[in-house]
Amino acid sequence: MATDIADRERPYVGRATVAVVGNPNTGKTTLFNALTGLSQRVGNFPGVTVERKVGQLTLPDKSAIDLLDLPGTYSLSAKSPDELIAVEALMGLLKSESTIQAVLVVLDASNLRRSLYIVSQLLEIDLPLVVALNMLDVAKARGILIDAPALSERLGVPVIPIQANKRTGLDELKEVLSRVVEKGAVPSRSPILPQAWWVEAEQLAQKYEGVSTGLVLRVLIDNQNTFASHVVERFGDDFAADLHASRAKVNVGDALANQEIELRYGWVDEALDGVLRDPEPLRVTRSDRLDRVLTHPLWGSLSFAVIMAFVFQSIFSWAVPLMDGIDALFGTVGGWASGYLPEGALQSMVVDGVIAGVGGVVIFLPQICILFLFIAVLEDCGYMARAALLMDRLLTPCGLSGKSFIPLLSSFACAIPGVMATRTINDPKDRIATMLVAPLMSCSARLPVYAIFIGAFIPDQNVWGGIGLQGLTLFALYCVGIFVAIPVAWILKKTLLRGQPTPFLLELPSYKIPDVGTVGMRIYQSGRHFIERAGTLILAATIVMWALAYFPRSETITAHYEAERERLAGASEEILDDLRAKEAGEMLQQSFLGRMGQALEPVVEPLGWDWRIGMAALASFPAREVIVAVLGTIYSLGEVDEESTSLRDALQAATWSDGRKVFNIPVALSIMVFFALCAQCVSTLAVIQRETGAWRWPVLTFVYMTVLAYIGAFVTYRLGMALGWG
Amino acid sequence: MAYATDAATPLSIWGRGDEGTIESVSGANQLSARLREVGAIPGVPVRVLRVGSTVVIQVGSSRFCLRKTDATCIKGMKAA
Ligand SMILES: Nc1nc2c(ncn2[C@@H]2O[C@H](COP(=O)(O)OP(=O)(O)OP(=O)(O)O)[C@@H](O)[C@H]2O)c(=O)[nH]1
Ligand SMILES: [Mg+2]
Repeated sequence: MATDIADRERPYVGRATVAVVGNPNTGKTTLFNALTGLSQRVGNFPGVTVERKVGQLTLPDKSAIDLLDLPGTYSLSAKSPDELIAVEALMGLLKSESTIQAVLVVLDASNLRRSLYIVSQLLEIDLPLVVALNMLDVAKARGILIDAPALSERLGVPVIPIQANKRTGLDELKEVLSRVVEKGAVPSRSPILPQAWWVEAEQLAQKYEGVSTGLVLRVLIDNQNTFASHVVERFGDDFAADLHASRAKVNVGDALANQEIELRYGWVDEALDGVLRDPEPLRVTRSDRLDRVLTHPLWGSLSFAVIMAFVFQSIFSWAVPLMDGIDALFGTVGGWASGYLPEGALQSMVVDGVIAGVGGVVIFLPQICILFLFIAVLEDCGYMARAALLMDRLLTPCGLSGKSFIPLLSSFACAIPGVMATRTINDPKDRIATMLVAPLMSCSARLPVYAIFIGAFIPDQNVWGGIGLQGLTLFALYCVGIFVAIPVAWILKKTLLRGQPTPFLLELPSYKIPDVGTVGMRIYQSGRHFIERAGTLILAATIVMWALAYFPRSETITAHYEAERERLAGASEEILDDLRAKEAGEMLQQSFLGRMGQALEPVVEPLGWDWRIGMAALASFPAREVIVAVLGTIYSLGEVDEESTSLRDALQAATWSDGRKVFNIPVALSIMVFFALCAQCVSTLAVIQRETGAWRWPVLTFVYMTVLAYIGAFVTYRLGMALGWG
Repeated sequence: MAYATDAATPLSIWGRGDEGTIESVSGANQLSARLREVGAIPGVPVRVLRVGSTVVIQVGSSRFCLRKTDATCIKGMKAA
């Protein structure tokens, strides 16, 4: 028992931290997840991880260490914000972080030569190093042979062959890690770089507090890049001047950075001599053959369009049976609640607020899951980088590059990780421009909004070969965001964010079959997140809106209709129903919400909306799905049909006071275009603020998107009416 | 090829499927530094996999895409 407690307490007393580093897409996060039991995001493209993540690893001797997953980087001279995070953590520049005791570097065995470049740098930062040789299956399939023990001897550090996605080799890795954490032997420095550089670095490091030799060496070599500027800024002008002097002393001929690279690759080639056997480096792989079609200027773009159309069609056709099930479930629960709860405010809140509102949102869970199924498959098969390649053509004219496309594609899931993914963009101006248009991409929270209106108003017609009108409409709505983003980015890059066109360089990973676990985890996590949001944020918003729509209760109206009913005693059920509907309608009109709505109506009328839609849209500014919940509540309150909780039927039946139908195709389209363009997500704006460190960017995002949304909705409605779709 | 030259040529004018070795990567910007760091140094085998406004090149065993205009900084010796 006593040892048990001691074990549990041990981690809190100076628990060791081991950083996981390496080139992008080498399987660092896969290994991190396998070792810690966490489920951080994994995908087959460079730049999946853009944040530091900590997890706990229990070693064979039952002691625990902290494992730190970092963004991938090709070298220690960081060139983009995500690489900067990794390098800063390694160099101990992050004060909040516990200091790193050892480094676990993950190598891609099928790309060994390139992977060793960063190893040669890591051998010089005075930390114990363990090498995990990953992707051995890929190397083997290409006929590449690696002698791991010989490599270990050459590098002077342990090299453990593993296959992270199959969890092989992990036991040995843990053994070695526990040994290294305990002993902590720092590898001896190989004479890769000239002695003179080290001498200068050491002198400077002694002069300044908190500056290590490794750090000085780095900034001595990296003259102008992101990392060097960052460090110099931090340690002040004196440091900068000294650095400059040192650089002048050692710099003969070619820039230090170029010399460094040649020296290091010279060392790498020596280390690999007789260790690596790659019979045919320029072999044509299966990926290359696939790419002949998928990155072909014509066939590639066509495939992209077909893949997208298929995705959107499937979201509708596959979800229907599942949705009907959830719908029926809520119908039953609603009926049950009306039966058991006493009539009055509580019953109304549960039935009209929670069940009709939140239930109306939850119904779209199957669609969310299907969307994420496709996103996860696209992310893990290797297609993302190809899509970025194809889109570079489209993004170049607006001053961005294909690099911006990966964050934009991520924003189709959610703009928050999308905004964070802009950390992979080197150029600060490109990065901000990408962040500002990311919320225009249709995120998964918009899907319920599209789904309800498309389902209710767009005819379920087959257009061509299994592609339906509903799927095409959804596809078109996703395109609205993209096609608006292009001119917005263009204008931003011409005005506020003017700058040189920046280069574009992206690694294309080889294709692979998506991992079932990775895909399943992504679907599960997003499904859970969706339900959690419905149960918290959406629920709270719905109850507030329900209260505004329910109160105040008018005695006069109740008394008036009571008298009417008495007068008409014995009249047909139909007449009585009609009477109840009128009563509910009048109650709603005079509620707080109704009064506010009528004040708002002149603003939204040009869009073809009635006050109910206007209020629901207004309530959706904190989070877009709220509109579905609020419309559910409003129509449920203003209605009598107790059996049907289906929002679709309520929307189809809704009328203006003069009896005209509220909704037709142009109105539905106008609402959807509004939601496609509007900045209705507080969290996204907050993340933009955090990532840019300035309030003006989220404010600008909010203003331009809201204005565009209004104009877009107006034009859509007028155009739809003019085309006679009304 | 009707004429064979000994001179190194920029990868931007190579055709699809052309192979050779890297002769030099010029320029002092972050792009050329990164290209060198990922292994584009003299003597390394190289191949062009896609041509167009965005090209795909294979450097050693990795594949990268970059703009044709940026690929001019990489010069290579085409294999006969
Ligand atoms: N074939 C094979 N695939 C692997 C192996 N380990 C990881 N993968 C796959 O490689 C891809 C990249 O994995 P990640 O763990 O996201 O790579 P990462 O190094 O964290 O990437 P960044 O965060 O972008 O730097 C995923 O599709 C994994 O499923 C392995 O040993 N063999
Ligand atoms: Mg990762």
